[in-house]
Amino acid sequence: MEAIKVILILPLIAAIFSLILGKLKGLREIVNMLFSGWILSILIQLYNKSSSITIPFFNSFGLNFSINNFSWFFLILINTVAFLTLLYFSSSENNRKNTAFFYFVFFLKVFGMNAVVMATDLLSFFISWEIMSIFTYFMIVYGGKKASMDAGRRYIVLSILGSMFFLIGMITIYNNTGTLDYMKLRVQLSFFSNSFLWWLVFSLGFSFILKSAALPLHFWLPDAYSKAETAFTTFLISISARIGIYGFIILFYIILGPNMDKMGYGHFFSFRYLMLWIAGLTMLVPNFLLFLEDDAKRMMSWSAIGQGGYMLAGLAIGTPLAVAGGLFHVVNHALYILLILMAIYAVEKKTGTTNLNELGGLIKKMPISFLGMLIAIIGLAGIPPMNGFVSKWMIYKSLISEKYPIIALMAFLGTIGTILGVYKMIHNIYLGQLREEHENIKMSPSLMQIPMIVLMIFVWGLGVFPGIAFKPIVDVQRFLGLPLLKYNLGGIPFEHLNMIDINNAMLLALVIAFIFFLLGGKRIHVSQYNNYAAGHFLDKNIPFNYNYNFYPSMERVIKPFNLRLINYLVRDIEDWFKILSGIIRHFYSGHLNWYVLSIFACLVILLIGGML
Amino acid sequence: MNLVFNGIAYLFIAFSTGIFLMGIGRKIVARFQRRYGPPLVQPLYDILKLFTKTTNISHGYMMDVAIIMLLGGTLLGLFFFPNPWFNYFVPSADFLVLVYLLLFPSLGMAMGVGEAANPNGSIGISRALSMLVGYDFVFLVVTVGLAMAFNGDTFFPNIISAQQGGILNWNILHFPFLTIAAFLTLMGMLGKKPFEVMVAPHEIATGPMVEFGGKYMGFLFLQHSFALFLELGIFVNLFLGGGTWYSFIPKIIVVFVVLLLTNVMWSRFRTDDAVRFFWKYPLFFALIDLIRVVIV
Repeated sequence: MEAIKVILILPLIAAIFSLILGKLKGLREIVNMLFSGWILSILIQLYNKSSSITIPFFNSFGLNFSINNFSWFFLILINTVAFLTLLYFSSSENNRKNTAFFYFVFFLKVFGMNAVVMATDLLSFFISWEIMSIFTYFMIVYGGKKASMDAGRRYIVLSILGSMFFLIGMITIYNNTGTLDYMKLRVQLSFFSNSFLWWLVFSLGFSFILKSAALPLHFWLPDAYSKAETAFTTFLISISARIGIYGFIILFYIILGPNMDKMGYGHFFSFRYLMLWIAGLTMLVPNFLLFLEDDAKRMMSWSAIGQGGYMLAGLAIGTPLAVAGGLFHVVNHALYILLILMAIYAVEKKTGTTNLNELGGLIKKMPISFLGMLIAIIGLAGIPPMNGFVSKWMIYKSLISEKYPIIALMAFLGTIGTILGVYKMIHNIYLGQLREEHENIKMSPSLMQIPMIVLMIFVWGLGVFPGIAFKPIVDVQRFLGLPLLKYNLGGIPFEHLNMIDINNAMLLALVIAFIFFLLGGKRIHVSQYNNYAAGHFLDKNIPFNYNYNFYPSMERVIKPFNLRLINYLVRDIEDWFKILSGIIRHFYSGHLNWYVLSIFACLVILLIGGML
Repeated sequence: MNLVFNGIAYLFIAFSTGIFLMGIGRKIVARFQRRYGPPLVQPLYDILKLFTKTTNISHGYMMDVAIIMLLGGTLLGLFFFPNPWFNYFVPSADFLVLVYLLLFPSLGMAMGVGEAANPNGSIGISRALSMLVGYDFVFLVVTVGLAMAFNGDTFFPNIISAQQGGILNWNILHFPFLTIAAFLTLMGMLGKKPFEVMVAPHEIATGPMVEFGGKYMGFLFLQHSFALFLELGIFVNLFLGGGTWYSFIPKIIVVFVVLLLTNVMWSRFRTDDAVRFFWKYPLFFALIDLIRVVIV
C-alpha cells in the first residue's frame, strides 16, 4: 500500500483498536503508542517526497489528498505532538471513566487534522475540517461537566456558523470558476474582480479566524479549552488551534497568491494591513489578560490565542523572514506549550488542582517539572536563548523593516504582558510557600519525565540551532512559490542573528558569574519558615504565600481599558439568543394539528410570495 | 590571546566605572541632603565586606542559580553592546536581541526571590514587573522610533556610525523627544526616583532583596555596578554618538550626573502611578518623534 494511504488510514484503525481493547489497561496504551509511533516513523521517511491520491466521491468530484513539503511540515508537527501527548498521558496513571472513548476521540481528531492538511481541494478540505471540528467538540465535552458542555455547545454553534460561510463561499467559487482545486483556482482568480476576492476572503477566512481564535472571534476558546480534560487541553492548545493558521496559509499563499496584493489601495488600506490589525489586536489583548487569570489551564488558553497573533502577523507580512518566522512560531509554540501543560498536569495529578491560588512552593518537591516549566516559559515569553525568542524576533524584525510600527508596538506590548502572566504562573505553582498539605508529595514517575526532558532539549536546541527547523520551513516556502529565507545553522546571518554565538556568550557570562559565586563564603540552605518577617513570626499554620491578586497595581492601571468588552458583548448576545430560542421552543408543542397548521401557513406564504 | 585580554580589560573597566558611579552617586545625593556622604570607595568596601561574610543564607538551588543568572545576564548584555574595548560578540546580535537580553537577569532574579518564599519579596517582584510594563514599553517605542528613522535597520553599530562626525549628528539633536522618553525609561530601569519603589531603602521590607544577605547581597551590588555601565552605555550609544576609549566614560558620567540631579528633585511614585506616568508623558514624547519619523 502507498504510504499516503497508510497515513490516512492508520489513525482510523487505531481508533477502532482503542474501542476493541477498551478495558485492557496497559495493552491498549502500548498499542496506541505503537500506532502513533508507526505514523510518525512513516512520516519521517516521507521527507522531501511527494505523492497524491484521489478517492472517488460522487459525480466528477473526488477527494484529493497529497503529501508534499507543505503538508509534511504540518503532518510531522501534528503527529509529533500527538505522539508526545500519548506518551505522557498514557504513562501517567489516571482514573478516567471511559478510557476507550478517550483514545477513540483522540485518534479520530488526529485523523481529521491529518486529512485537513493533506487535502488539495476545497471539498476534501471542507469534509476533513468538519470531521475535525466534530471531534474537537467531543474533546471539549469529554468530561461531561456542565461548564464544559456549555463551552462545547458555544464552540459547535460557532463552528457550524463558520462552516456555513465556508460552504457558501465554496459554492460561489465553484459556480464562478468551475473548479475547487487550489492550484487551478489560483490561476482562475486573477480574472475576477476585487469584490469577488473580498467575498471569497470573508467567507473562507471567517472559519479560519474562528479556528485560530483571532480577535474578535476568540471568545469561545478559553472556556472550551480550559474546561476540557488536561490531556485534551494539551493537544488542543498546542496544535489544534494552529489548524486555523494552516487555513490562512492556504488562503494567502495558495488560493490568493499574487492576487493578495491587488486587494485594497496602497500600504495602509490593503488586505494585508487588515489582517495585520487582526493579528495585532490578537497579540495585544489576550496576552494582557493572562495575569488576571487564576487558573493555569485557562491562562495558557488565553496565551494560545495571543501567540496565534504572532503567527498570523508573520504570515500576513509575507516577506521571507516573516513567513518563516510565522511558521517557526507554530513549531515553537507547539513545543513549549506542550512542556508547560505537561508540567501543569504533573502538578494537577499530585495536588488535584490547577488553581493558582491554592498552590505554591512545589519546586522543592517537583524539581524536574519546575525546570521544564522554567525553560518553557522563557521560550513563551520570548527571552533568549530559547526557541520562542528566535521566531518572535523574526516577526518583530519584519514588522519594523516593513514599516508597520503600530503593529510592532502591539507585538512588543503583548510580549511584556506574557512575561507578567507566566511569572505569576510559575511563581504561584512552584515558588513561594510550600503548603502544609503538599509536604508529602513525591516526584512524578520517570516515564512521565522522559517526554519533558525530550521537550526541554527541543525547546533549547531549536533556540540555539534554529537552522534545523529552517530547512523544512524553506521547503514550505519553496512549495508555496515564495521567496526563500537565507539562513545558516545558528540563525539569519544577513540580519545579524547568530544564536550559537549568543548561547556561547551566555555560557561564558554564566561561568564568570559562577566563579564570582565560588569566591564568596560557603552558603547554608535554610527552611522557608526561617524568613525575615518584620518582627512577626512564620510557622506552618500561617499561610503567607503572596499569590492571590498578584499584580494589584497593574490591575488598577488597566481597569479603565475594560479589556473584556468583547466577552460582555458576547454574553449579552447569548442571553438574547436564549430568550429568542425560549420563544421559538414553544413551537414544538407536541400537538399534531399545530404542526399541520404551520406547514399550511408556510405554504400560503410561499404561494403569496410566488405570486408577487 | 589579545581577545581574552581585551575582554578582561573591558569587564574591569565596566566594573570600575560602575563602582565609581555608585560612589559619586552617594556623594552627590548626600550633598543635596546637607550630609557629607560616605567616601568614594565605599561601594567597593561594601562588596568586599559582603563577599567575605561567613553566613550566607540561601533558600534553595534556584536562589543560587538566580544570582548567577542575574550577574551572568548583565555580563551577557555587556558583551552585546558596542563599546570601544571588546566587540567580539557584537555582530551576532542586533538591538532587538539586546533589548530582550536585558530581561534575562530580571527573570533570573525574580525566580530566586520567588524561591525565598518571603511574601514581601514576592510583592517586590510584583511591583518590579508592573513597573517593567511601564518603562519597557516606552523603551520599545523609542527602539521602534529609532529603527524607523534608520529605515528599519536595527543593527546597533549602524545606529552609532550614523552619528559620527561631530555633535550635530548626534541623535539627541535629531530626536529630542525620543531622548527625553529614553532618559525617563533609563531612570525606571536603574530604579532611580521617582521610579524606585521596588528597590528603595525605605521600602526594603517589601523589596525583592529582602531575603538576600552575605554574598547574595554582594552579587546584587556587583550586578548593579555592571548594570549602571550597561544601561547608561546603551543611552550614550543611542543618543550621544557612542564614544572612543577616552570619550565614552566621560559621557556616561555626564548622563549619570544628570540622572542623579533629576533623581534628587523627585519623591517616590507608587507603582500604579509610575506605570500611568510612563504611559502618559514619556510615551507621549516618544510617540511625537515616532509619528514625525514615520510621516516625514
